[in-house]
Amino acid sequence: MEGKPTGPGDPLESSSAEAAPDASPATPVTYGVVEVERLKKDDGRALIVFTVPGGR
Amino acid sequence: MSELRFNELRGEQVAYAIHRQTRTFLPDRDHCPLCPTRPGGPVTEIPLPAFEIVVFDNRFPAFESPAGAAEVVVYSDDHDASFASLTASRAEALMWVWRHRYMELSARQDVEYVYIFENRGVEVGVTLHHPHGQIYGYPFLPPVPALELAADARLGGCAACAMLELERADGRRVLYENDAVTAYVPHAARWPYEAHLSMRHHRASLLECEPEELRLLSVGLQALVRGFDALFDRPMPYVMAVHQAPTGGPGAQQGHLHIEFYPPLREADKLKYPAGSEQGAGTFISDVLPEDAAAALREAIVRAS
Repeated sequence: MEGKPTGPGDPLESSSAEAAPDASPATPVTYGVVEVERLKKDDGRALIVFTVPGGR
Repeated sequence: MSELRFNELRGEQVAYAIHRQTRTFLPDRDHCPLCPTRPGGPVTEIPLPAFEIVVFDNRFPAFESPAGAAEVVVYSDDHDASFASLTASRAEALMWVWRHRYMELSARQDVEYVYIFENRGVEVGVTLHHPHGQIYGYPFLPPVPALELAADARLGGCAACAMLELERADGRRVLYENDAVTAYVPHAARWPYEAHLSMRHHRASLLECEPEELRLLSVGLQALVRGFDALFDRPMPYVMAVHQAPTGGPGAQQGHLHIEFYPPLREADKLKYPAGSEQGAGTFISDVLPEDAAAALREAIVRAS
């Protein structure tokens, strides 16, 4: 896996903070039709919350 | 941490994740770990009183950093929902969730293949009934996507595109179409009611799909799974396997996004077991002709729409 490129990225979101796996936690950002909020569980595991603005 | 051992006779990796032996097994609904944490109720995996879609690291991972990933995708905070029962907007949102996870996991140095899947029903080994799927980030290319790359090489181009063209030209096994996807029972289906849903245009992964294609993908998937549920008038157990391009190794970026369904039922109350021929020789023996399965499924999809 040495030298693997950083991944294909997202052509629709190339400048988005979502392209970075370590984006700031708890700052919702829009990705397509969802908002993305990063949290941490008490034991340190990642929890990502996706919401649909304006509807469930 | 799991241990990988290479099985020489099969030419494949086997993962030993012995910590998974103690994972939660078919809890009653009052102790479901995928339900929200409601005031006065038990603390679950999701410390929120309500949610739409969440993804979290599996507590009992088959793969984990620095040698892969295992995530859980919970579709709804409604314990009794299913992929088929989600609203159209929620199903569309799920496509973006999948895309998001593919994007991020594909960037990891320790992930060569991002595999999104759902096991539905105890018949295929579900241990939690709450509607959810999973994502494995394999630190190697697993055998099935490797076979798809080999098919590309054998046919001198995208095998999934070639299969799609053949199925659409034949027409007898086509189940459903919209402007972005075609669903069909493959000419040589292994499971009695196996179905594939393929992007009509060549798209290596979710990342190459236009937003409207993602919406239509969700519409097509819901039409198909609702048809499955209508086929025998019962929730259809299945394995749903999202196949797309590997994210590392020589086959990186080569693939064609399609979703395969393997329902294990051959009748409403009869399972197709992968037994002697299937397990020991690798040859499936099917009781149902794909053309007959397609006719029944087509009618079920119409009935469920």
